[in-house]
Amino acid sequence: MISTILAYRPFLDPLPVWPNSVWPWLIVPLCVAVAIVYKSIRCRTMDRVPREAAGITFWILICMAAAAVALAVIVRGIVE
Amino acid sequence: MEEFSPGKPILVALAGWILPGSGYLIIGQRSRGITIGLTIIILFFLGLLIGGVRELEVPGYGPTANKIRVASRGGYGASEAYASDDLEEGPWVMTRHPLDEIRNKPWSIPQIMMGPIDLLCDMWSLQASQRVSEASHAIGTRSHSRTNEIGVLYTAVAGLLNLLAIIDSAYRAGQGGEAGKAA
Repeated sequence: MISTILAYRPFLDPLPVWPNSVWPWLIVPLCVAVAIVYKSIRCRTMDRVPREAAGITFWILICMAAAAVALAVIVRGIVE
Repeated sequence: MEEFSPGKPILVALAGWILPGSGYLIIGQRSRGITIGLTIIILFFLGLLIGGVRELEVPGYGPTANKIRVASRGGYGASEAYASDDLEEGPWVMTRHPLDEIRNKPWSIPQIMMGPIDLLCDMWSLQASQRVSEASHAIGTRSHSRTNEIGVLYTAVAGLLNLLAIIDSAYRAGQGGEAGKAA
């Protein structure tokens, strides 16, 4: 693992995030960015954006986690 | 109230395509423009960081940055034509079948919404894909599986968010700066 990190060249090599415990967290920055841009467009004043973007980020993540749990239950129900 | 000029929304949309967020700067919404522009640019480069620059597939070029050329098999006509980046001769696929080639690389459509930033990164991708010599590998490494999928998703979402920002800023410019003036 350490040798992989030391050999890593930013932008030329893909990010070494293969373990299943790591890569799902990459959804968080994506949700934050979508929430900031969406709320920057929707809000009439920019001082409301941080609070509203934090709220919508939270709800996106909660809904995606709930969808993942529901799909996992359905898949296990079919397989087992 | 600001006088309406039909050319202004087009100018604002063009500026937003050239540099994300700059459309808002033209209509005087500085904080909105900087917030949206920086977020979109950071998201795009995060995508390149995750998947590597070679995740950008440039229409008309193969995995080793060779031009994809068209050849026909035994004169059976255009329906029998095939394209490959191994061919030394033949017309470039982007001059003969550009829509087919872009359909093969659909993520390039939202990515181009990032404007010149994407075009420069496409050139970087081609440069990183070239082999230094026949026996050697390319400078950049191709990503596969999840890192590639997530990296491409980041860059494509950045392009689509910029399209959203372009439409919104052009609409605000068309309203004479009345929409969202409080920003």
